[in-house]
Amino acid sequence: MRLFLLCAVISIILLSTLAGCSQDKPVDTSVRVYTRSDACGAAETWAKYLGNSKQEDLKGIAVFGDPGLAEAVARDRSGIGFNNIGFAYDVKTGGQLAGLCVIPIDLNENGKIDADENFYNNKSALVKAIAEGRYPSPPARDLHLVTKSEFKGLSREFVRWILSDGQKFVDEMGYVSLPDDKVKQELSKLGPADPTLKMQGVITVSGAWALYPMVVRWAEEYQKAYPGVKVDISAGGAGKGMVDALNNMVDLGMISREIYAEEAGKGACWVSVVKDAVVPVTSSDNPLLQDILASGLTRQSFIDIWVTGKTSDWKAAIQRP
Amino acid sequence: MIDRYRWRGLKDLLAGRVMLGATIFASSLVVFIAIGLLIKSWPILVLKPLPELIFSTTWSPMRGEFGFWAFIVGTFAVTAVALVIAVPLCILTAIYLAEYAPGPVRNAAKPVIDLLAGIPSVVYGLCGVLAVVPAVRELAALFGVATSGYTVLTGGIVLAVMVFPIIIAISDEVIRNVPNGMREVPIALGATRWQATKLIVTRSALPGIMAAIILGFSRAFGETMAVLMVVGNVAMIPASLFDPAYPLAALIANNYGEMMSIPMYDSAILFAALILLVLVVLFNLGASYILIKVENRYAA
Repeated sequence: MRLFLLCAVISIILLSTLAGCSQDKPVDTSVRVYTRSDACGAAETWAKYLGNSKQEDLKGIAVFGDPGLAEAVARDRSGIGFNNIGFAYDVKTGGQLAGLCVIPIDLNENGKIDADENFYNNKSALVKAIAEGRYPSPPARDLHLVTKSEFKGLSREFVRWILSDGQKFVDEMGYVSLPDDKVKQELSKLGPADPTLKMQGVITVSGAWALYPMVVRWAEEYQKAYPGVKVDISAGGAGKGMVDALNNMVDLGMISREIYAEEAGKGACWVSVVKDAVVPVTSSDNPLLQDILASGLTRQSFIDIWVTGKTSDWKAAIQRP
Repeated sequence: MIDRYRWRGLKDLLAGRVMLGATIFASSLVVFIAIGLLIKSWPILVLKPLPELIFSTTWSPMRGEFGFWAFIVGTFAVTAVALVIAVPLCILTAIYLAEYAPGPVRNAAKPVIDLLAGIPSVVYGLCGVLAVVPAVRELAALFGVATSGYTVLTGGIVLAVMVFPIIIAISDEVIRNVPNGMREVPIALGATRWQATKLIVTRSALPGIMAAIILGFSRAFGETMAVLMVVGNVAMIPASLFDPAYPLAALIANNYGEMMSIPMYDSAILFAALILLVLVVLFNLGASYILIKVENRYAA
């Protein structure tokens, strides 16, 4: 009896391995779609690019956090995902992260990536394209600081400094500066400086992870320039930043997505301080990688992959109808 | 003398009252939590009929569609898979440790298993992403299923490992507490050790073992971080072990921070918390009922 069972098990294992070997498998070109599980600015921005959708409309396996999504796509040859540029490029070298490859977007939809559409090799090239508006927005996005009703006191001066002197620290942190006319427009929302204001006290900030490292850097520099000022920053998501700001729990909330109408209705007042972007990525082991890099994907292909689910094959995604 | 007598009496009274206070505080917490969740989820309960909220599978909060059925099913699916894996393994381990293992083996194995309980949940999640996800992907490929590896099965495996220490430690304790006579009598009558264990010892330990499983189950229900990192988080009803699922606890953790500024979304997430609480309470009540039945049967 026991011997029989043992034989049965062994033969099943042998058969299954044989079956695995004997099948002359064609290259698997199916697309496996990934998205973010946690509500976040990156997914919200990517969804907005895909025909004004919402994060909840994005299909696919949902993975927690930017690093999780990068890891999942890097490990799956047929995977497609999207990441903040901070998680698609290496912070130190500026090159693409090992295992990941940014998918070029075929902006003029002519079926190939032209020279002026090819700016994904390193971070500085992409940042330049975003700044010059050659990379579409969305998925490029403005990051905001929000407060209740109006900017006032110390936090207003901090925001004013961010929009002027602070902009020179943007590049080194891997974010994208706002264009000059946008900066002027945002500055005009602040109103004139109060000459009687003493540069002494505490500014509290909370909110989006996407903006956190940038604001930390700004705070360091600002505290150097004005030793009497202390900036307290905590991260906890854009929603937390918004709720804290609207309830006057903090002076400034960091927001990495658009401000919803409900929030504006409750008195949210915001300025854009910097830009970053979300980029589509695939695994560097993707069997069709060269074709993908040569022809890129159109916005419609992305919509068919993530929103309508019409496309589930890389070949179909590359080919234009 | 009288003073000292009074002082003793006062201390006695005080000790009793303080302990009573602590007990009332501890046992009323769950009530306060339930009331708090109910108040916070009231807006959505007013807006939508309860059956629609619970049994609808459409989750599209930005369009005002709140159906929790997929999340409820997801919670049960992941927990059930975990229990199917964990229960046999844990009970066999506990029986071995309590009945068979020589002293040194037991002394070496126990602390190592207990150590599992101290590992933070996020570490389990990371191990799941790095090891279990690819393994499940390969396993599914053997069955001819193409999957990402972020599945109910993956969540179940990770969760099973997390409940090991609870179920093993308690079952082991319970089995060891079975009086020695229960072992000696059958063995004296010529039964083998396995017969004695199987027919007598585990039977008399059964209520305790069930209590251990129930404790493990309650832990598994609400486990969040490790599960959400590997389970795929797709709001659908999983049709197979290789489909992704989305448990309630993961829904709350994924959305609470970002969505609390949207009133109805906020309310929906807190309603999810309320459902989870009610499920755990119902489960515990049902389990205690079964436990009492079992105990009575063995007492009779």
